[in-house]
Amino acid sequence: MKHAILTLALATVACGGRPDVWESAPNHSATRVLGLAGSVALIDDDAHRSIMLVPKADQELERITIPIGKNVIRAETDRQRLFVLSTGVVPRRSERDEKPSLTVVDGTTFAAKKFDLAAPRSGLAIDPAGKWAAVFASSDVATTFVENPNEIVLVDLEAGPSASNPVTTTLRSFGGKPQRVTFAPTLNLPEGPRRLLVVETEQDVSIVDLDHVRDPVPRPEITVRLTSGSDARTLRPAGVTFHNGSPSRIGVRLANDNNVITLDLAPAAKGTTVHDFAPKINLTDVGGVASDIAFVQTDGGLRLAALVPSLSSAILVDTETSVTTPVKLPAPYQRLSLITDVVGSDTATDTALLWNASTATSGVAFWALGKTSGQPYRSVEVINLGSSVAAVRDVPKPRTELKVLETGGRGLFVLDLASRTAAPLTTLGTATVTIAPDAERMWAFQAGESKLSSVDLKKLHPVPLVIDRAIQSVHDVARTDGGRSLIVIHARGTYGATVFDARNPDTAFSRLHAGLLLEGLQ
Amino acid sequence: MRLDRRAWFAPGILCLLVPLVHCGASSDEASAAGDYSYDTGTPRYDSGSPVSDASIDTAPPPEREVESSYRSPVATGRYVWVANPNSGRVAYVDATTLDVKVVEAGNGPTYLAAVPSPPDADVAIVLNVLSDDATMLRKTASGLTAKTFKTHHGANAWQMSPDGRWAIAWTDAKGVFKADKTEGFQDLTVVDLTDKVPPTILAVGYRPVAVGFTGDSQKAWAVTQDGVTKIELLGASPRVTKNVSISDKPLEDPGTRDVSITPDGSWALIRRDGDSNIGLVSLVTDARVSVALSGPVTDLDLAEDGKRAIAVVRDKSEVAILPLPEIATKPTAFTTVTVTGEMIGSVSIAKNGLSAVLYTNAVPTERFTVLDLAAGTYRIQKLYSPVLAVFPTEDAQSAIVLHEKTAARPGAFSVVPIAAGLPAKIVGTDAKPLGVALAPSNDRAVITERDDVRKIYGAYVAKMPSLAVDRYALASPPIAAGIVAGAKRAYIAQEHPEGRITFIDLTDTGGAGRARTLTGFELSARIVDGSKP
Repeated sequence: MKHAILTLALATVACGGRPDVWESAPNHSATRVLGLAGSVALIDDDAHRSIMLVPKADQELERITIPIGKNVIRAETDRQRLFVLSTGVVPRRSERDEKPSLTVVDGTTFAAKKFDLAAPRSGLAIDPAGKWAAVFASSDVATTFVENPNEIVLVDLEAGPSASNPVTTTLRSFGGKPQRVTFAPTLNLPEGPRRLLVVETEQDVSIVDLDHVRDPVPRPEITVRLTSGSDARTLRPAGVTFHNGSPSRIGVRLANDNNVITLDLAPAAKGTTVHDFAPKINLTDVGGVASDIAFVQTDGGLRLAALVPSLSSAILVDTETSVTTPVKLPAPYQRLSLITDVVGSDTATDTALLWNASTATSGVAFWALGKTSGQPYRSVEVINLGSSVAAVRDVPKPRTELKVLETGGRGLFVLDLASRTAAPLTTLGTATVTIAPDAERMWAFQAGESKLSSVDLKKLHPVPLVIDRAIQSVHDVARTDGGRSLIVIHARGTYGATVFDARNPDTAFSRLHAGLLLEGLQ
Repeated sequence: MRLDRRAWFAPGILCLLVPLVHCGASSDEASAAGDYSYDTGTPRYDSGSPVSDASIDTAPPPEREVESSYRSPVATGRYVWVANPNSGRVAYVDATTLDVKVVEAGNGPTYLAAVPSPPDADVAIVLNVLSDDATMLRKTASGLTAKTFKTHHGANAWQMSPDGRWAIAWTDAKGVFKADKTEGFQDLTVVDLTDKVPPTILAVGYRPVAVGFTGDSQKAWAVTQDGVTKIELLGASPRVTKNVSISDKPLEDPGTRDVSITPDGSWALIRRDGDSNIGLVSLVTDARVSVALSGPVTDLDLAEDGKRAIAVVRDKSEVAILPLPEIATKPTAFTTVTVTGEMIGSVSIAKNGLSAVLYTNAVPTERFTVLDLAAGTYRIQKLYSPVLAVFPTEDAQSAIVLHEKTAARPGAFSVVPIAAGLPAKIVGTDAKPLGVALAPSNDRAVITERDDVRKIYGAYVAKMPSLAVDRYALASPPIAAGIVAGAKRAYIAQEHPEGRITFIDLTDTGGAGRARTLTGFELSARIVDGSKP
């Protein structure tokens, strides 16, 4: 469509070569839409740019074009910044041909930093604290004929590109390849609080000291091998969790073994290593494969809680002694989320929300980890929803007591952790939910359809909206004037967007912006 | 040193209480006959036939020997050593830093022993049962070295000389399942750990039950069913010099006798079940002396310094204090103390040799007697549950007493301030007490408990003289416990496929010491710090 329209309109003035973008229709599969706090990024890989859609008053939409690297392989956002990984020109035939890169676009100023990479990489992990990004070879997308999957590129996002930024570190490998990269929160370590990067491969876990990767002589990683070497079995890590304390700890669950592992980051013997900590490993058999783990505070002290669906139980592991306390659960819950910050605690003990059980009537459960009658937990209270919960969506401040429970079917629930109520909302189809960052409302729609609803999270009052085009995604975005806009993206033709006032959505006052991908093209 | 029918276990393994309370026959003999079962208190072989029938024999049953079951596990000054026969590796855990490292040994490293060594080194030796050799591991500040020595086939036990130069690998028949009588286990390997003399395989009498060294480490001996075999260590190579028969009756059942050897290796003391005489045999001249007591001797113990032996005559409630070696020349010159009104059948001399505890576990008795060996006086210590075993500390200031199970409790123990004469503190346990480890500093004791059916596992740390007791739950069944004096920590090794050990801090902080468990020795050792070469 874009091609046809512009060919006709500009046929008489076109002369000489023109950008390749004119030679093909928009590639919807290569066009990505990402919502940031104050804008929506439309990644137009064909034109090697990101169009930042910035809402204005009266449902106007400013378009800002940001150049990005060629051949986008991954795009992510932490809502404050846009991260675009690109392979560059492959093969690179001239000096002018673009190298692989990571482009970071500030969501407020729209200033872009481009970090050249030595080789294309498809894996990207973003530090929740905003300091780091890790680029690595993802196991699911090969970008070059020969890759070193254990090469991790660490980008300091607070600094600009330089000879020492990004820095590349190659993990010592014992046969594994990185599967997951996790930035730990700031942990108390013997030499002081620091950040760690934890890399899980198919068979081991590596710990990188982020605060020392840019030292003249960087501190090498510590690799915790999960196989004893006495048999051919490979223990595969399936997720990590952290505890900041004395000592700080890392918990590891395994995808194919009944053990969970705790790594105590204890002080290292002086003079034996450049590291100030040395992981002390502890294996604990929890009776089945753990589906989720978390460090929890009980009256008996710190425990690693492991959910074991095959036993319909949670197992509390004493991190000091490996002594386990089984807690029978009313359903085989597979996921847990700590909600202590929301519900509060008089005894400095945690409360967890259990969810994602396989049985249809299991709903969610509150697990109080305070102590009564000699046991390190107090109670498990079920809220029966009549269906299984597939996903739990957080509602941001100031309404963190609310959770939106997605069932995967025709309905969802708004769970109030404070009052322990769960209000059902029925839908005509499988709903996709977007929660407004100001916590006042959520948006529910069915992808590919034109029906949209706004739900006031205070009153749970739904307001239906009908749009005359199919919805791809919706984004509740802050305006610079203090208001909020809803930008509804339509993945048709050259992309369009319908803009509403998010706080007072009314189709009568909405505005349709079409041909977004034509914006700025010459 | 006391060598008798009591059970001898491989160092590092905390002996199980359950199979060892059946002492109607010698433990080596019983092992050869088959496994015991024990659930009613009636000794049985695996055939199910009672050894004794209370309806016929109205005398109290034999004393049950349990103290020697509680052997110190393998710990050196700072390290705890754990062998993994499957991986061929030995893990050594720094009890101070809790660092775990692993070193390759031979094929099937199984039986570990601590080697007496200077303070700047930790030395252990392990028997590799599949490669028929032994690996000595020496850890110093500069690193760990390993040296391998050839041994005979089938060795399963160690004995170390006091000076740490000599080690004898031997075969304890109790560690062999249903051994045929044609298997004499007569080979032993004398290893010079300084490597000046190559390992020497010697043959001793039939089925040795104990091996030992003289205090000066110049001679060794083996107590066998043929008598005591003497080994000369000095010279070009170790050699057997003689075998001293300890009985005039060639057909005497060796399982009915206890043999103790004096530290200088000059005398063997023999007690026989039901016999009123204590036999002394000179291992130098073969001379034999008989000391007649007032009735059948139910127990005999030899002081650490070898200067006296204590014999107990239960029927008469008498204790005979035999001075050594003077008793050999004056068999009637000994002191007798009658503990009036008490039934005493067993004796345990404190390591300092100044006192002994006397008790019986043949019949339920809720007290024991503390005997002052110098003054020959005694006093009765009241308890609140029947005695099973008594473990005095080295300084004889305190004792740990294990009790029989009661209707409500699977077991109990008491912490007894025997020197202060204060009341004992009894603690009911959640499972059957399994083992006792006493700190060399005499101020701490560790008591483990284990119930596999109810899956209750724990350890108690008793503090002396405060008598405070803290319980620590364990994640898996305890198998061994001990004290690492250099680190001021107790350790409890547990059954776990990847290896598990719990360390308990014994420093006096006013409260319960911190417990830390390490699981997965081999995994710990496979943590790769990229900064290390």
